[in-house]
Amino acid sequence: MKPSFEMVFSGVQMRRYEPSPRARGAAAAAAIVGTLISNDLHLLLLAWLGILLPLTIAGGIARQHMKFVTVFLGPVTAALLLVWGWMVAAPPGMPVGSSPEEGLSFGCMVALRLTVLGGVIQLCFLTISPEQLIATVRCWGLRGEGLVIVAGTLALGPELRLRSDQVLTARYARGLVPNRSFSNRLRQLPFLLRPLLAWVLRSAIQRSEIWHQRGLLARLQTLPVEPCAGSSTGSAFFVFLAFSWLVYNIATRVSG
Amino acid sequence: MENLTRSNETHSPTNPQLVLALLPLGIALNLSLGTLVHTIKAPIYVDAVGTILVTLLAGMRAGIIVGVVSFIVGGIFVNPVLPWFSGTQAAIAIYTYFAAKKGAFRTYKLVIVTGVGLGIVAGVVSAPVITALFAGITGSGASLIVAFLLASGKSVLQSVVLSGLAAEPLDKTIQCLLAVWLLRGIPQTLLDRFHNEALFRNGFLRGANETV
Repeated sequence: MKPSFEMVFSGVQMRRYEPSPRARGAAAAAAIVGTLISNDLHLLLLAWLGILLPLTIAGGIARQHMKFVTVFLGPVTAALLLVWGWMVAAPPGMPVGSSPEEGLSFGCMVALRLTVLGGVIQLCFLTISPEQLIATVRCWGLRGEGLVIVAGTLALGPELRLRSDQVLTARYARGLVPNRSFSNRLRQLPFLLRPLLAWVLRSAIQRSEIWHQRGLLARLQTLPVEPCAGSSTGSAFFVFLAFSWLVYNIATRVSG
Repeated sequence: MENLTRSNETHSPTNPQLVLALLPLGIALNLSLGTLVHTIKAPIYVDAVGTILVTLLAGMRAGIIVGVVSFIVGGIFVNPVLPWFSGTQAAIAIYTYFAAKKGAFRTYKLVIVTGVGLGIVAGVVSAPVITALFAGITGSGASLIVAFLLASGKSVLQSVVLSGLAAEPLDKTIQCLLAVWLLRGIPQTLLDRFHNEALFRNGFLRGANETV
């Protein structure tokens, strides 16, 4: 089978250049602040098309990014353009109907800013390889109980989904749901929620008893801290890119 | 985030391991319910039921952690815009905690009043984020109200606050009713492990300490 573009530049390839957790965190913070203060439509478009899109493809998260852009941002963008370009027909601070072009441009800028913000967050966090996830959050200063909460959440999400699937499947198998129409699925919600909450509480009690027996809280304080490893080339590249973006946007803002 | 489970609140359970074990489950519940309701296309969000439940069961600090962390994790895996609304989740936990202290979840009539109040709080707290990040338009049904108000000459912040006050109380009332209905259906023996004053005060737990 001939490998696709995304397969060639998949996350596995990118891991050679995976930045260190600290560089990743610093780059994310700088890129987010830079995007929030950016008000240049063309620069935002260039940042998205020229930098973020290729990086999301190279990082193997292009599908998630496009899903975010189409499913979430699509309706938001349409609404922004409709409201600011046609209904209000002016940017904020100007009289209603005074400048449809500027209103449209403002709507585009807000939509692009959201796109870039979402892309930056996805690029910084979704590209962390699963085996590096816990080490990364530990390098960000999350220790002890905080680490248990984050690790537990990541582990329990799929388990909770499995439990709800089991309840629904059992109801389908017993013939309690005549068909899978919208109204029937909606009616299953009460039957799903109570067993799910009861399981959550029972599970919390069981886990707490096990942790108590094993002295988990005391052991958490003595866990050794692993070094925050990562590619120095990748770290330098992402930090340079993010801080250049931040500095340029600050300079643009200051110069008016 | 050290010592998250220390219980200096008046109605927290005393077992720190139990609170610590409940937090990831509350976060997962928050995320799962939101995703589930989104999947079956129900006309409500249900993104704060876990926050309300954990606040009632384990106190304000636990509720804030569940709300904020679930929106941060949701921001990474579900929708990158969610973390910006973490403050709203914290406000929901704080409001729920003080409402529960006053016994505002005791009857369904009181829960409706509490839900309306929670909707107002959530609407006001999320308005600056919607204004700054989305320029008032989030693509939801409430955006129609914002658009109408903007076209009538109101500022973006005014429009967002007013639309939030119109739309949020219904959603938050439904979420409060759902949380209370869920807690009322849980066996007493199970709830008794989360022994705290709020559960007695709001009638979720019955027994010798009912008048606490």
